Amino acid sequence: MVDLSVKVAALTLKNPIIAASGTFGFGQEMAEFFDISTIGAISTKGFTRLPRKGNPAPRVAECDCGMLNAVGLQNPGLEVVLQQELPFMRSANATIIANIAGDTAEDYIYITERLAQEDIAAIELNFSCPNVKEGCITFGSDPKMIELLTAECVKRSPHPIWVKLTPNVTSISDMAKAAEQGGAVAVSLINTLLGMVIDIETRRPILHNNTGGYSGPGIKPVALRMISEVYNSVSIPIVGMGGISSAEDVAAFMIAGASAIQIGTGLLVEPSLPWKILAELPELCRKLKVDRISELTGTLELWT
Amino acid sequence: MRKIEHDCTLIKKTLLNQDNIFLTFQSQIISDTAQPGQFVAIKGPAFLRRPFGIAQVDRSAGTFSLGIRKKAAGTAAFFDVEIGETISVLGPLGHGFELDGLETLFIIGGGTGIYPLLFLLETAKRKGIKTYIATGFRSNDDVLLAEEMNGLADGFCLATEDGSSGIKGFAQNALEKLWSDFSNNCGSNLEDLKSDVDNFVEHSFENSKIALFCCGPHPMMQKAATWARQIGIQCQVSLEERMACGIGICRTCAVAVKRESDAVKREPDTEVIKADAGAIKNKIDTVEVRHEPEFDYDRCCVEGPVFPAEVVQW
Repeated sequence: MVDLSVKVAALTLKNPIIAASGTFGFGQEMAEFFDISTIGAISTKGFTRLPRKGNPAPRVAECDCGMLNAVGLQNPGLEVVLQQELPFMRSANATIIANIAGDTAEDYIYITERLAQEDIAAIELNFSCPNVKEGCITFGSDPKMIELLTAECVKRSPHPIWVKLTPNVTSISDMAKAAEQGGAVAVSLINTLLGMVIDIETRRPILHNNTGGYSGPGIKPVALRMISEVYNSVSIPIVGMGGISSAEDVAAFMIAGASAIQIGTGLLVEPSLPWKILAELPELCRKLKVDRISELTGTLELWT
Repeated sequence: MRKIEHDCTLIKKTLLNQDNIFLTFQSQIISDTAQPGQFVAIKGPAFLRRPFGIAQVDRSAGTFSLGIRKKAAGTAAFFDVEIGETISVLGPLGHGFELDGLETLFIIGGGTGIYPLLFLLETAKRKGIKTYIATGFRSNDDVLLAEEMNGLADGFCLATEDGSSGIKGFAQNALEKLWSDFSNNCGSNLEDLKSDVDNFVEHSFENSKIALFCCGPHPMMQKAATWARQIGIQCQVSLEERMACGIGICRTCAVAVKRESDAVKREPDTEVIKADAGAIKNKIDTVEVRHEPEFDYDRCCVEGPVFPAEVVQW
């Protein structure tokens, strides 16, 4: 019997598979088709203090080995999330990671405070959305801001605080260290890579936002490199993501240093992907000769 | 829980012209549950699925069909699928046309928008609704499904831009011709058929016995919708938007709609964060207040693809 449970700091998950923020909504749509309680956790669609309508369409552009998106954090806002979305997720027995975003530092702090009494497993501070003009990535590319804002949220929350990092920086390790300094119990990486797709006939970008976040199998090597780098820079656990679409990918991310992983874009194409991978993990663990999947974490042997 | 992913076998493949193909797949569940205006998202070699309106279902045979036009590599790949091959299909998806209560249905279509209208026409016919369909194409070589449509509809009018087939002009010209013939025969009863168009905003089509349904290029539908409003009949339009998931989770296929706005305004920060946030606050003085649009975004894949024309922010 292979043990698929993993720990992200003090939090135990029944398996390492987490639905990535923005690719699972708040679980309602998916619950029509799948049992959303059987995966390790669900990171909610990133939500803000007030509702956000998001960017004009087109918001998605296909590209080699993946897609760009520029949704722009469309979400119903904190009040609706508290009154409707989180209660639904709890009723479906989902393990909830609340992914929060803001225009200002106050937004993050306010939402964190309002979540204090909620039955959630963790808060994921989204400092990395590339598709909105204010906040978010502006915070996520400044180590000082990451540290300060993380510390403010940690101080005000009974919940574990994770920080989701953007790869669109010079050194992601510096950002991870700042999150650790600020008291985050984990870092999740990577968010999407900022990119552009061009229509050569109209000579315009496909996305109305001009640029968008690149996700999918194409970014996997970048994600693995960054996870390996961050693993060697901080002592807090890593939640890894970036193009995962098979059980083998899960193993690679864990070997690189991830304690748990997130599946996002892959499930947009194949909604059953998290469950398909989950079913394949025990056999893969046997093949890799581990009794507990958590034994894989950080076992990468770099060439010297 | 409902099954959404299906592996479907291709059982029939008909080349309609150089760039258009009609594919029939085996799937009892999709043929049993699909409604006209709904779509499926099918997986080819490209990364994302491609959405197609369901063009026909045969419930006794347990099959459904799609019409596909070759646009780029993504769609071209479906021309190479061989009979007997299986592909992954998500569906049926979305909110289709609402036919309840209708006695008379006008339909306008053009380009690949014609395909889902075949399913619509067959369904309307089965429900005993009188149907009048106007279609428009560039020229005779581009005309699709004319015989099928003509056979099914109570009234049919084809327009080509170069006049090589049917009347010379656009689908809108064909529609207005059908309407004028209809209203001449209808006489004084016509007013009884109409109802208050403003009621259509919230999908409230009660007492609406006559309607116009549209599927085709955006400018064609916008024009037809404006016309329907002038005439005073309800109008439903089937929209298209670039999408990723097809099931409402990614929120990429945004359609701007006029709904009761939630009035997203930035309220003053009444619960000002205390002193120790000061260090952070100083750094963010330059943040500007974000301006939200007046309208909202619905999902083309869930609330649509068929919308009441009155709610669409054209």
